[in-house]
Amino acid sequence: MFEIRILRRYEITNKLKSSIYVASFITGILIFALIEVIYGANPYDVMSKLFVKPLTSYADLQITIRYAVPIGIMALGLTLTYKSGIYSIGSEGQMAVGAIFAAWTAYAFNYIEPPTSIVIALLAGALGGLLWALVPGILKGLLNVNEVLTTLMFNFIAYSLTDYLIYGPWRSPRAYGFPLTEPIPKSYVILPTDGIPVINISTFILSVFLMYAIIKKSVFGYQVRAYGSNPTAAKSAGISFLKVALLCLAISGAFAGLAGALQLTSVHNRLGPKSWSVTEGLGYTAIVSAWLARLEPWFVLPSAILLGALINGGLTIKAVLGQPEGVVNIMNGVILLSIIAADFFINYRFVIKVRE
Amino acid sequence: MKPQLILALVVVAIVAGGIGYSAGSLAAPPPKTVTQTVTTTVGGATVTLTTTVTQPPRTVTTTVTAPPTTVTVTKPPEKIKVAFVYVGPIGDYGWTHAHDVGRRYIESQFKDRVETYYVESVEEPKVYDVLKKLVNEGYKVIFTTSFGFMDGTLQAAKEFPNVIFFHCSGYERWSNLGTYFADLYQLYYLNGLMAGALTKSGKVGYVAAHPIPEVVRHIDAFALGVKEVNPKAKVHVVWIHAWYDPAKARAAAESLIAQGVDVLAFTEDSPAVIEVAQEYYKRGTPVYAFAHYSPMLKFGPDVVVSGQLVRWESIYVDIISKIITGVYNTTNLRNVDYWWLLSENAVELGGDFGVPINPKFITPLKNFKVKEKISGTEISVYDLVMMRLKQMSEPRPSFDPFCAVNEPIISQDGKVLVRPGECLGHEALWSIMSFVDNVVGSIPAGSS
Repeated sequence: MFEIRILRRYEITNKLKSSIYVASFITGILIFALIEVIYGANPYDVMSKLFVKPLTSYADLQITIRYAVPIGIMALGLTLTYKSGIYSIGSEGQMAVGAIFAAWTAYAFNYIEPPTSIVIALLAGALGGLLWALVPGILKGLLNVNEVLTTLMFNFIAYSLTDYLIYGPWRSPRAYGFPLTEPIPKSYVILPTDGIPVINISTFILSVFLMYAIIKKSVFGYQVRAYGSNPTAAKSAGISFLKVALLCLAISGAFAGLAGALQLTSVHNRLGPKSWSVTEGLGYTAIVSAWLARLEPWFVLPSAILLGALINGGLTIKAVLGQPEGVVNIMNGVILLSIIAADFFINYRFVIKVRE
Repeated sequence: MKPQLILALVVVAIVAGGIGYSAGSLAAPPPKTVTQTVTTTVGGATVTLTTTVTQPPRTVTTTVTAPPTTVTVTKPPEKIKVAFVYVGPIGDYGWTHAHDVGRRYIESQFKDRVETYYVESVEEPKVYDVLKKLVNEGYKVIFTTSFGFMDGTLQAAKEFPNVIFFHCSGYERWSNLGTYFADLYQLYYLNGLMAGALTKSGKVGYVAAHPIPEVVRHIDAFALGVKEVNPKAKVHVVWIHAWYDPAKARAAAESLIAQGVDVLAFTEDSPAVIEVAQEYYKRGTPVYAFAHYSPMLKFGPDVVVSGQLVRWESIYVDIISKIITGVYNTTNLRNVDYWWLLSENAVELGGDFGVPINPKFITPLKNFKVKEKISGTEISVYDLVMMRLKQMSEPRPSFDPFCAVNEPIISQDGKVLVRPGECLGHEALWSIMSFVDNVVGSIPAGSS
């Protein structure tokens, strides 16, 4: 007789941990392949189009990157707030306001030439996101208002602000009455260099380093981690909660605003209604990315790329394989769930005993 | 060590299963060339991949027994791969469904020359990525059917100069990007004539989607129709700020009825308004309604008077045949803009195809007499509708609701919108953003 015991694991090597992640990811892909087989598709064909093509075809890889960059940048900001125990879900709105600020800069200073103009637009975007996040920050720090509610509500206010602008003062006179702003001036459009979106990728990588430095190397990062692990102890050690709440939300807002400015300058080039807009709901995807990365700045790179690849794969399923939306949801669900299930294997181990 | 082992076992088991299954299904097809022809035909035929996997062995045998040379000689190189990108599911009850009817029609009309494919529920900001994938799959003609696809389609058109793009409802064109639209304003005007005759309270309701020119134009045309037969009646507008939201449309219709409205028209992609009218009718309060976009007569057989129907297929047939004959190519679409109406047979009056007016309402409409505004003779509203329908269906229409005949068309704020003897042309109608004077309600935010 066999006896299987599940025991708690107290120590785990990094090597084992990462191999469990990889194995669970592969398992997720295999389960999805199995579902495709049941669905009646050729699993080789599906898998090669979903997971091999993006690596071999540059045009396909670009699509993954286009989603991975904004998701990743916002996830980095969220990493910091989540580490402090503040659960912001406001990236979506902060991103929208970042795009609004960047657009305003582009319309107001249309005479500025490229390198400077883009830096200014990105900084303006970051400032916009920062200011938008500051209000929930103040409410949290001073009055201990639940940040989940305030940040979520601020997303809707940001949508409405965009609506006000596109239906009102910023409505393009040349859009035949449609609710669109004018395209931003050419000098503010980020074009890929030789087909590679250099600015977007380097902004993302720089953000990773920056967030790593903030969390792991700065005193503030230490205070944030202290609050996250034991707020009472952190408070009695004299760490100001107001400062932690304000700065965490402000920094994460700035990252989200930066992502919004990047989306505006490199992808959409103008503001439109919610369903066509620059945010595309990526602010919510970033939350998933931050948690998949276990709130580690370095891990945000693979997690954001994974989520970008899933969005890309979803489009492939519909546009190339001709399968319905439901299959897209199954793919997302199966793969993400498998990765989350890795936690179980990290925290527990199996012991198989043979009984006589 | 142990968990790694187990994981490895699980992985191996699943891999083995997958390989075993697919090896079984893949082993069958014989020579490579034959499999390829099969996959292309099936892949393009808009069916899910189910057929591709289960059928190859069988189809292959049939193709082999039939003389393969004749097949390859007559068709393959000339079939044009046509793709449609939809914003909603093809099962919606309006916009996307109507386009898909058009797609299926050209698929059947040009069986030997085109193969069609569609991608449904594409989020608007992601359209450029979808187009990139479609071009990569070899699609040569791509239709994008939502206004929000405009920027992405333009970007794709610039990037892929060898592909023909057509965008529905936008205004951006390029050498390989044309635009097309079938507009319903004439039908809304005809519906307005009937609404004006049928209202007892003098209050007609309109449930409107978004405050954009298309919807404003339809409300105005409807209101002009109402005014022509019933100068005192008012059109009350409620905005729901959504193209598809049955719950909001229902609430809007109910609030209008509560204000005393007894005839309803709408722009929204569900039959919710008609369902509300049918419920009120059943309860003994007669409220009538006009169908929008799709044949919705069956949702309210007692209350649907007429409606607006679209025939995208007439535009699609025209575009595809011009592409096949070489009239349209990737260099000459910059000025190709379809604005098709009744005279091109792109739209049809009625709550169902072939039923311009619900027979139930023919007698009351025949009994309602008005003075025809051009000749001044007395005429029944039924005859008036039929006369206007005929006038607007002529190759060169002899009537248009936005032409002011003896009196000017006045806007809500008292300004003259159209002077007598003048008409609003395509440009003006395309960007119209003011209500005519018998509309109650306003166009929200920032619009002048």
